[in-house]
Amino acid sequence: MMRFKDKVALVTGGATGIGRAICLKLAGEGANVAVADLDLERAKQVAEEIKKLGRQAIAIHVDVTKKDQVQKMVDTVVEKFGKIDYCYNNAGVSTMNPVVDMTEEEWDFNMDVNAKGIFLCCQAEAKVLIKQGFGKIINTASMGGKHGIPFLAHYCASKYAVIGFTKSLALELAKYKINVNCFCPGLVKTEMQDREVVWEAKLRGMTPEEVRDEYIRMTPLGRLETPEDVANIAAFLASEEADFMTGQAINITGGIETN
Amino acid sequence: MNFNLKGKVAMVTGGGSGIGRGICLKLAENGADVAVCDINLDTAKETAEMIKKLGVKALVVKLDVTKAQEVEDAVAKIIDSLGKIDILCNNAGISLIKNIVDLDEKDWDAHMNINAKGVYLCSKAVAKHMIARGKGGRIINTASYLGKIAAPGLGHYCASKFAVVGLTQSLACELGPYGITVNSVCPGDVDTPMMEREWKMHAQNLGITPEEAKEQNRQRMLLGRLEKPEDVANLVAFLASDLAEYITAESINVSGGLPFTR
Repeated sequence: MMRFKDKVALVTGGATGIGRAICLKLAGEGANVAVADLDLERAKQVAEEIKKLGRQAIAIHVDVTKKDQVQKMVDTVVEKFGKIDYCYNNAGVSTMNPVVDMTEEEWDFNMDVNAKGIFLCCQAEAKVLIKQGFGKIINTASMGGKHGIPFLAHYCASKYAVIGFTKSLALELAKYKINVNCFCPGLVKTEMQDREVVWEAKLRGMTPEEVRDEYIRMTPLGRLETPEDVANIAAFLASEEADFMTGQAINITGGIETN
Repeated sequence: MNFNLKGKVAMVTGGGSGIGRGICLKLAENGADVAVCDINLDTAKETAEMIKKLGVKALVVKLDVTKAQEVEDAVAKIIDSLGKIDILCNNAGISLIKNIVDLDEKDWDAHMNINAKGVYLCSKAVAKHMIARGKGGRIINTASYLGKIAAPGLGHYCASKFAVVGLTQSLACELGPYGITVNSVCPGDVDTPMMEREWKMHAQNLGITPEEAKEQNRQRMLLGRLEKPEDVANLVAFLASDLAEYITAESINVSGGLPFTR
């Protein structure tokens, strides 16, 4: 299928994990991709992989918490490709700690990257999409945006914020026929998860392997989620088939989150 | 109805006006001593005077909930003066009506810091005290019906109130083993100084008077009237009482049916 031939996608946090899978999925179906990440070297590697698929790609360094850098990122994409069809605001972080031990820095880090980063990116992108008269915004939320999780109160707060923000923005941009949605992954096998199982093991007096086994037991479909599972729904939301969907927060969790 | 809070001590942020003042007075009516925390010391003092007339103790604390050290100091001062904290009401909050494409970064920050981070900072400081004391406790956050659904012109506010709902659930998981319940109340359009400001903003956008904006709002309500701070305070007092000891991790609407309107 070449659903995204000649389309242009911008993916933040595109160098690794879910973001990288989204980049490759869209490129595999025809899209040209701007890979934006704090880690420029690895963003370049993903851009090279995309070029091998026969598409155009650029790597952009961005810290999504910095308004000027976000604006520059969006300007760069428009300059290079002339438009943006799909904006994937995917950059995200996590740390783990119970609230009583959580540092103010941890709170700020999670809220700034996961929530404020989405605001800053969406604001800059929305202005472009309104001007050009088309486009879709697709944010990465989390099942932690649908239910609370111990040790992740700050992360959940930030992901709930993403969902509330996404829904509001969808209402604001509907009159321009711009779709704004998000998806909510579950326990995805990424580098972020590799770090989390180590933290959680320490906090609960278990081994990382035991934590990982518990994740699998928690998942009704009986395996860890892959970045490709997420990329499939991410691509669907960009496709014409999803033109009438807006303001949604769709679970992709193997059945863990059903609400 | 008396929820029998005699002998309890409550800390209420944003207690100087609006819903916060309503909560302070309702808890006091039910017998609790109340620490009225607010960034505006004058209005906090007014609330405290009203509380004292009800025959319970009141303490006034000037507090900016976004400052970790101020929060720590406020909690220490309350424990020093009133002996303990049984009930924490994280109620301080702000709002602004503006579309995302026009929203200033400083306004995003103000909403996330006061409405969401303030709940984290106060909960952290008070939860440590409640855990150490070993007698359980109640944390009751003022979220909003806009912590569950969206509204245009309020993306930043919705983000901050959704955050409160998520934080409430995580915190309930973490503090349940200590007998501390954590819940949120989700008010609708409450007749408060904050809503007065919002009606002004709406009026400006619609080219009508603030009074007309308020009246339009009233007419839309299913129950034919705007929400009063007391409506919210009644639910808070219930959640603070022994009757609600098995309720935790909930975010309960007290919104006159909003988002449903006539």
